[in-house]
Amino acid sequence: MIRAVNESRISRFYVAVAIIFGTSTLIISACQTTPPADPPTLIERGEQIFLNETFAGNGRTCGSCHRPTDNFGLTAAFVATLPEDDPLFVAETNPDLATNFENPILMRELALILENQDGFGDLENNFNMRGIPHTLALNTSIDSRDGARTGWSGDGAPGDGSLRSFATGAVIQHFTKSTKRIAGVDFRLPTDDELDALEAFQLSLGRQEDLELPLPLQGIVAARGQEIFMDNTLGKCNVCHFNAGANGNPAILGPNAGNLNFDTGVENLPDQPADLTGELVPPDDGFGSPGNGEFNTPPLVEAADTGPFFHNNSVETIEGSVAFYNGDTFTNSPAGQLLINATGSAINLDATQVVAVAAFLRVINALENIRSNIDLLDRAMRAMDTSNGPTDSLFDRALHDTDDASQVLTGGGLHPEAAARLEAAANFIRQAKSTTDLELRARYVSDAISEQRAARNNLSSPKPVEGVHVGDTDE
Amino acid sequence: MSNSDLTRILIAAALLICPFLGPTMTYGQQATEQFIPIGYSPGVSNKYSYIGSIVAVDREAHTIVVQSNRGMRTIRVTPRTRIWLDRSKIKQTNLVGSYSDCEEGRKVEIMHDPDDENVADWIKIESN
Repeated sequence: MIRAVNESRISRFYVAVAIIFGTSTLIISACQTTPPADPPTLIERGEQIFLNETFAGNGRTCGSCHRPTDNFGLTAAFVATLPEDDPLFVAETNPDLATNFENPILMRELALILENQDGFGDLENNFNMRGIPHTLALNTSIDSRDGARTGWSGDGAPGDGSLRSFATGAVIQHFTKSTKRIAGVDFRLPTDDELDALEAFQLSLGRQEDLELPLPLQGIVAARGQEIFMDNTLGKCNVCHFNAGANGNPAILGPNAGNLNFDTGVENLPDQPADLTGELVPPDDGFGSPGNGEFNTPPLVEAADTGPFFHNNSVETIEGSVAFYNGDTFTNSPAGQLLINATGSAINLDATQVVAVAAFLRVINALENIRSNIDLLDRAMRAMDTSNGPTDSLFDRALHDTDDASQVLTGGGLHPEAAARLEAAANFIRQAKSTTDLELRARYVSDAISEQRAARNNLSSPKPVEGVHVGDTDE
Repeated sequence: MSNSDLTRILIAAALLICPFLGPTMTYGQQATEQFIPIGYSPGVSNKYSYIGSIVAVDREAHTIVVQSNRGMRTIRVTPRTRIWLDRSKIKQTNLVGSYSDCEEGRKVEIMHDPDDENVADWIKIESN
């Protein structure tokens, strides 16, 4: 009996100790603070807003049209992969947006978006149908003598017309719950902080500096294309697309020419796909209201994998877009006439020369994709090292850009070895994304980067020539 | 023709077209500006525009006098001046207005023409 009582006391003692110990442990655990994660940078906040913020509107975000895995633009092929409830299709699901907000036929067939550049007074008849430009390399392509040029006609932003202000106009045009467009009811306007972050994010995308042509290209066709591109008596491309960018040649158009608008006559092209659909496609008068017919000069480095081309997606292929400058439509346009008056002749390239220039554009696009991929994969490696943020989206973008680079080359019958290297890189990226073994993942990423570098060396001399810049260095 | 000859010709052509590329145009897209309430135009409100009340209207001279936080100012309204009625406070859609909507006592935001500070580029009038 006594022993039983003692045992009972001892048991209670141990239970009490256990409770005290357990509770203390819980309290201590609760009080222990994990080191706070680094606050997101302005660019990271901008990315979150760009991809996730709906501004209390119809469900769209900036990323609804500027898709990270479609070069921050949108093609009809990508549209076809989207589910029916994707916010892109709000005109088909929201009765308040069923009329005069989008044209679902043109959106699905040609990735054209409705814009009311000249005002909202006659929604039924006064609108433009425009493609969605990528938002890459904005840091190199929107400055002009007269301020920022945003959007297809250079006047895409309200307020002061800056890239920072662009989002405000986009929310009003594309995010609204109804065509009444009442601030505070149909959407909320971005705050100053959000505009700052969005601007920082957009400026961070893609190239941060222009190329310096000529590049030491390995392929004979692309190299010849580069010569034609830069020849002011032949291709004449380098006049307006200096170094294959979006700015005017300062030696010709004056220092700090920056980004320029031109009326190249694209609106007058015959047999435009949008017109062939039979849908109402009013003429687009470009810059200003009423417009002067001018549109903005886009960068060409990013061109080959971001077609269709021109503001109305009227030409599907890069070869076709080069050939445009041979045709009567350009020759008879104000920009074409200016070129003729200045040089004594129109652009007149033969088929082999058109293809050579396109080959050049394909190769510099592949090089830019490789530069971007290596950067994305480096970021994925760093994110793994610090457990700082998800890496899947980085892998997705790297995979997409790698596929793009490969397709851009194979589509032009160029550099099969580089294309094979890029396909190998894509396989390593897929494996890196699918494995949970961090060590193995790091090895796959490293192998993917090696393949990217090998592909790059196949396209362009691995030893940089003095004054020639082909992207990042190996280390 | 050598490339250097051509470059000289192109420079001459560029100088000819430069006046047309000059700073005579604004890049602010005015279509969506209509729907931005008074005081919220990005990069413009509280920086370049002035917000205040109309204290006088001269219909013959096509001018209005505005008392704002930046003092008293007379500004001319031209056929190119865009006028909008800001009805966002009453949760109604903003409308295109006209000079006749410029009445004494009404709250306005005015952005001047970039080439002439005495001319209104656009006017937003608060509408009840």
